[in-house]
Amino acid sequence: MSDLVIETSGLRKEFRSRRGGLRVAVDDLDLAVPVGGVHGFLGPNGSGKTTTIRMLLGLAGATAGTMRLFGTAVPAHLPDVAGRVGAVVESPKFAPHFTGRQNLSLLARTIGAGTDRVDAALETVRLTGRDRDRYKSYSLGMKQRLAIAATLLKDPDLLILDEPTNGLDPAGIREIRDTIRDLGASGVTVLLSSHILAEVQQVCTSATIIGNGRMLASGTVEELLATSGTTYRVGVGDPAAAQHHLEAAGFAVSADEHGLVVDGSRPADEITRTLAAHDLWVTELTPLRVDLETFFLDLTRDETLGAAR
Amino acid sequence: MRLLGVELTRLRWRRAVLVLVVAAMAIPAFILGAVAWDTRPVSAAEVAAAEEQAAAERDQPYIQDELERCLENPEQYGGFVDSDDPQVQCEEMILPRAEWFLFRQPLDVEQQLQDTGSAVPVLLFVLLLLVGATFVGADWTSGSISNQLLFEPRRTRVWAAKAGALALLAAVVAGVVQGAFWLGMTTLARARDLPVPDDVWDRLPGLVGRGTVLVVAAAVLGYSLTMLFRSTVATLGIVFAVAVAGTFVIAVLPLGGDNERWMVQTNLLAFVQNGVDYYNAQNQVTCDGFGCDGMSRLSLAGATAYLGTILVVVGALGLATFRRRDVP
Repeated sequence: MSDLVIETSGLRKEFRSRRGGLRVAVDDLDLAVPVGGVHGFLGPNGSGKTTTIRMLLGLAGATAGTMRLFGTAVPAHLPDVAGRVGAVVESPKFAPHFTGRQNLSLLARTIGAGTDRVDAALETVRLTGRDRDRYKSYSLGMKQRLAIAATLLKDPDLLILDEPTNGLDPAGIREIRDTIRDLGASGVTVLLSSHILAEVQQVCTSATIIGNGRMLASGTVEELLATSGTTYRVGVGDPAAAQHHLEAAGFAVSADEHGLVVDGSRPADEITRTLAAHDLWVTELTPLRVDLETFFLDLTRDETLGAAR
Repeated sequence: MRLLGVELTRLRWRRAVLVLVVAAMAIPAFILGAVAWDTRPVSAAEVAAAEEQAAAERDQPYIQDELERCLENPEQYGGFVDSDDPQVQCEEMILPRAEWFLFRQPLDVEQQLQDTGSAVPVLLFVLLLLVGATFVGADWTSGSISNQLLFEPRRTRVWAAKAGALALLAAVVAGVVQGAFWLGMTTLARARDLPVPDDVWDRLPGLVGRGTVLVVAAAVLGYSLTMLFRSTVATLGIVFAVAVAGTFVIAVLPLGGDNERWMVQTNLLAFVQNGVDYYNAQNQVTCDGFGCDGMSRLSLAGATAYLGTILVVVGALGLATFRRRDVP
């Protein structure tokens, strides 16, 4: 049995415009999401995240390439694994004049699930008190919660969440984050597409970053951040002299209003030894880790949004 | 069967569908009421009023002048030259009588088979076509169709379940409404001691059966069009265009005078009425003193082929599109 929940190879999706132009939304994408944990799926707007998700779920056809869910080729055998996959794609989509319960009830009956599953899902997302209100009367946050409730009807092994915290207030975001973390810890694999990178960093164990439909980086969060290197903030009595001596010793140094920022590609003790040799005593030496947001922005800086090729 | 049940429930919960189904029951009931009113027996008061009006008319000078002219020159009034008693003949022809002022015809169930017998299925055809369009149009408008496909990715099954649910609903509505309509009509005739010929009972099952098939086809057609264009508005636009512009377009096509055979309404009537006579300029064989009229007969088989081809083509296109195109 494959140890990958999601696997794509050479995945490509082209859209033809009415004027005959060709736009490549996903280009030769090799995606590998391991079993278990929360996997971030990141990229700027128009980078192909949602298109990739829609292809995996059979809502859009691929132009080329192969896809597997739980080792099963999709879309050819999607019905065999659809029951194990819960998904929220972009905004929640339900019948506006039906109540939240009616919407869930129809979906539950489609897979042969009973009322008890609907009750449990509504309870999980705390919509029990509003379940008999029409969907169109829900706030955006409630609609998101109903969409997540729908994914839980299947008791899924894989949860694909495309911007699940859109429109939620801070408390709602925290709730969803906790829910995602709990699901990941319980053995459900979560593929989380989100723009809120601080949030992704908090809950994800691994991530894939794409731009213009192409893979830019993939791995555990630690691995991704490690590739960016580390810098040190250095506090010293005479910053100008310290910068002069460090640069003479081969360090890359920049100065800001808080002090010096020194390249961390060499061991930290070399910084203190160099300064001490010139009677400059270090008052602060703090490693500055690059966060996922900085890493993401550095990586996607050159990506043109939705570029046509 | 599970999916069919889901779609039947979805149909039941859709407000627009409920409104249209209520209309499908209410309008034929209104038509039946209108027929009952228009054919109601003449009351004694109405007879008395008509006799009074006839007597008043008889005394009018222009009537008397007309009577005199008839008596002087009966040959000018056609058919009375050889009469033994021109006085009686002219009075019968010229002097107003009470029945001239009583315009109502008694209920004729056999005639109703031709008139309302076509009107009710055609009305149901339009309403159930709207049901089919709006039912699935709402899925596309809200985007909930994609959510449904996340739970049942086999698109052919989803298509078939929705079509099946609509066909069932249409069959029940058409059967019940037409059945109730003709039960009401025949009951009305009996209540008025009017005859219901055996021929009516022989033709009714066929009429109701063909009407039901037509209404089922309408629901599936409206559904298929909307699955093809993914919009209720687009479907309504096409139906309107076919109903209005299509007639004009077919009328000017070079079909050698046999244009009416290809009009949708001719084929609908031919299907419901088990064949229909229509005007055909190619076939001018019936002549009278005023000119020649060309008539042809469109058979049930011809109408079935025409309407069936439209349904199959649109249905196949709708299914193929739904199976292949990306879902938003």
